[in-house]
Formats: sequence, C-alpha cells, structure tokens
Amino acid sequence: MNTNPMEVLLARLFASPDEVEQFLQDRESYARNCGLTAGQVAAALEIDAASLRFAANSFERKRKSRSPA
Amino acid sequence: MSGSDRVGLAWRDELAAQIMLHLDSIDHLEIIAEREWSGSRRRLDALRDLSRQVPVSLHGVSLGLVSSSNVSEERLGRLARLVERLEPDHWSEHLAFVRVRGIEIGHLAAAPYAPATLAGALRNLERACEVVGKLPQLENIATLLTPPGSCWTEAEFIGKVVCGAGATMLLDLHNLYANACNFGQDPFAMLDSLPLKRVGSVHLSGGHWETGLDGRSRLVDDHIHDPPEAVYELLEVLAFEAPQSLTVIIERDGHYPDFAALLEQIARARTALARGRARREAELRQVA
Repeated sequence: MNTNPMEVLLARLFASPDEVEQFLQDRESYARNCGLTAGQVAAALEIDAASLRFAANSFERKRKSRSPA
Repeated sequence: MSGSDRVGLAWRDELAAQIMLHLDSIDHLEIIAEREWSGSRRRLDALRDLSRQVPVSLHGVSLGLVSSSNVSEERLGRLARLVERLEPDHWSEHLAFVRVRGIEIGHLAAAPYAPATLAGALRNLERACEVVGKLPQLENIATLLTPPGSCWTEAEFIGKVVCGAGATMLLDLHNLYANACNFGQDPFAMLDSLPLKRVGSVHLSGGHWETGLDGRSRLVDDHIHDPPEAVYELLEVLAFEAPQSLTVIIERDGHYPDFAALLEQIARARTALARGRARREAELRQVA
C-alpha cells in the first residue's frame, strides 16, 4: 500500500481549520512536509483559499454536530 | 412508479415510534451501521425483527473505502457481523475517504479523482466483498472543494469506481445538486453523466445556503432541511432514464418536522417516480 501524500495533506487540512491557516501561510513547505511530489505541490498551490477555509469550517461544524452524511 | 420501486426513510431513534405506527406507508428503512456496532442483543434482535417486516439496508459512514490506503479490517469485520445479524436487503457506503495515517477527518471527504485513488478503491471494495459477502452500494458525496491532484471529473471518477468494481450506486440527489450549484454546473447534465443504469438506491435530503468570507454563497448538505424542489425534479428524470427498480430513502438527521411532513415527502417522491415512469412508458409506446 502506498498512501497518496495528497490524501495526507487533505486529511490534515480537513481535520482542523488551524492547519488550514498554517498551510496558507507557507503552502509549499507544508505540502513538502506532507510528502507531496513536485507535481502535487503545484496542484496544492492552486487550491482556492476561500473554498478551503469554507470546507474546513464546514467539516468542523459537522464533527461537532456528529451528523452522518 | 414501477411496481417494484420503494420509498422509505432513514431510521432514527427519534422517529422510531412514528415509523412503527406508519409502517404501512414505508417501503424501506435505512439503518446507520456504526450506530449499531455496540447495540445490545435485545436492540439488534428488535432491528432484525423489523428487517423481517420491511426491507432494511445498512448504511456505513466511516469505512473510507475510496482511498489509496487500505480499509480497516476491524471495521469491515464489525460491518460483516452486523450484516449477518440483521440480514439487510443490501448495504451501502460512500465514495469517500475519512482517515489516513492516523489522521481522522471525522467526516466524508473526496480523495483526488486520480488513478491511485481508483486503484485503492477497487482493492478496498474487493476486500469488503470478501469480508462482508457482498459489495456495498456506493454513494456520491457532497464536496466543497474539487480535490487537488485530480485528473478526472467527479462523474468520470464515479463511473470508473462503480463500473470497475461491478457495484451498484446509491445516488444522493441532494449531494449531486449541491455539487452542481457550488461548481456552477447544470444538475441535470451532471445526472446524465453518471452511470444511471447502475443506480439501485437514491437518497433525498436537504441543506442550507451559507455565505463565506469571500462573499460567495454555497449550498451545504445538512440533512436538517426539507429536500428542495430540484431534488424531486431530478428523481423524476432518473425514473425516466433508469428502467430498473429504485429504492428511495428520505434522510433526516435533525430539526425533525411533524411526521406528517415526512410522510408527505415520501408521497412526493412516489409522485416524482410515477411521473418519470409514466413518461418512460409513453415514450416506449411511441417508439414501438
């Protein structure tokens, strides 16, 4: 099994809005720390910040409400 | 509505008494699997008895099958024991990942629509089938972000997973509608791009519009609002396009209305199915 490092990055971001802010401060270093390849780092640089913040906050609220999908 | 179409509800303890009183109006019940993992013997016996009165499905929300990481054997084992105990009509899970390398997202997330995810999903589905005894129906999820690193569209990816595994789809029409709204797409075109002949079940639910700090409004799937009109329109189109029988489930997770309102939603779903089926029959007669 080879876990796709992009899943690691997304899991960290979706698990905590604080992680999103750290990521947005220095996307490239954060992405490399997650083990992303050069191509994946380029994709991570393109993530829309507003949508990412919105998604992470939505996840946070859903975790608190413990609602299934 | 086809004679074998069914319309029912997601089982919630808050609704249990009313569901039991109105079983004659409910064709199907969907039970969240994880909520029963630590159920008492008596509770599971009661649910098994219920499954003998009305068709029941088990709905998983935490396996995380669509991932490059391996699915948890322990979770699959629990699911398998519950399937054996409750004898459901079928079981279902999401086209989503929920954890990786010990990081728990705590909800359903879309992994990149890419070959590594597809390979992992097919491997996990094969394993799930081995352990549980049958493949799950696979549900599309609502997502607020197109996963970075994707090389296919969501619909292309769903088609590759569902068809590649030989699985049936649980089509959540509100998730589809929310994604279409949030990504500026036509929901009917999006519906048309999915493997509709493989749809076995349908979820209907609702959500709310929320404005972000960027001033953009997005539709958030929340299961605590009524299904919007567009969802019934999509169901009618699906009933027109897909000849196979469908099991339609109304999902509600809170802010419960009077039970009469939920029965009215069941009736509206039946009407949408009947309209789609009637249009299909009329077209077939015209062609003949």
